[in-house]
Amino acid sequence: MATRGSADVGFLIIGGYDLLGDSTTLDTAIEQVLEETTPLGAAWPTHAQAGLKRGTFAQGGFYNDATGKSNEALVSLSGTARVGLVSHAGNTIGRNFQGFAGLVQSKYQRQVSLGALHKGQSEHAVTGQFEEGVILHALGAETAASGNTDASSVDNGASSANGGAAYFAVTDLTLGGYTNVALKVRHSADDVTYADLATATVVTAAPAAERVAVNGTVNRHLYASWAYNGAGSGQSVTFVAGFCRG
Amino acid sequence: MTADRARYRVLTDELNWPADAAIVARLRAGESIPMDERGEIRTARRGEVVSDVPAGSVGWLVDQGRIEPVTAVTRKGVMRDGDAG
Repeated sequence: MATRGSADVGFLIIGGYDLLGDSTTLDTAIEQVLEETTPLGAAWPTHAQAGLKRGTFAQGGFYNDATGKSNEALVSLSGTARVGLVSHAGNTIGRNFQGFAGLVQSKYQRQVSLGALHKGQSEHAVTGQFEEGVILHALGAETAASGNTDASSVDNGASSANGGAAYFAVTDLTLGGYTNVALKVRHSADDVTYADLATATVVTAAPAAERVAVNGTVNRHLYASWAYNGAGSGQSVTFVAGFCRG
Repeated sequence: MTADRARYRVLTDELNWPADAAIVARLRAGESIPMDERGEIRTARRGEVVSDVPAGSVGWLVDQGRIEPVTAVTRKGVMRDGDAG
């Protein structure tokens, strides 16, 4: 663990849109809802956890109306819950990231002022989980027909029993004639034999992002894999994958 | 007389392991070997019956329902692989 700064932000993805290049601020918060339990006759207040957690997500930066950039990502206010991924600690396998099961956008504000670049801000409520995970495939392009990050598999030191969730986000995709690309998270108890743990819906276009929940045992070793289905050439998929243990 | 190796049916979409037993042994000993130094990777898909799953992986794969022992029908009835002397 170490202190981190703005240069360490590895990715900022909403629904498959990579907003890192247009963002200058990011505020994420998780809140434990408390209820005051102070009875009559008490001199000092008391509180208890109400059993509900709440997440919020706010992003600000430059207005960019290019294809696939911030305005396209944020202007629709569609109400759809979109998967989000943020890394405060770099775009590196094994580093931590935060996964947001569903970002529901509540606000998009464009700011224009004299002598300055236009700005844009968005606010989101988190529907569902706000969870901590580990990066298994750093955001980057893969052009081989198939492959995996087994060479950098992440060792948790032990298995875990409470399932978890895999996060996948595809920010750019050129199929080059292939039908689609399949992304997986795979696990192993011994770093020798690997089995599928979570499989994303095959991706045919970017941007795309998905959270895949799994139950039961998650073995200690994890890696991510990709494979294009069909045939083609000149393919490229830019994606990030990670896993949050339950 | 050498007994046949136990056979298992793959119950998950895909399993992978190094085909080279020496690599498996080095991994089993705790050595960290990058993927590009693991040689040929054996892939088995759902429904496939295999007899070369690394022995050390069989326990957890069976426990987690990733593979199951395959039973063979013989003239004497149904028996599990390995039951025969």
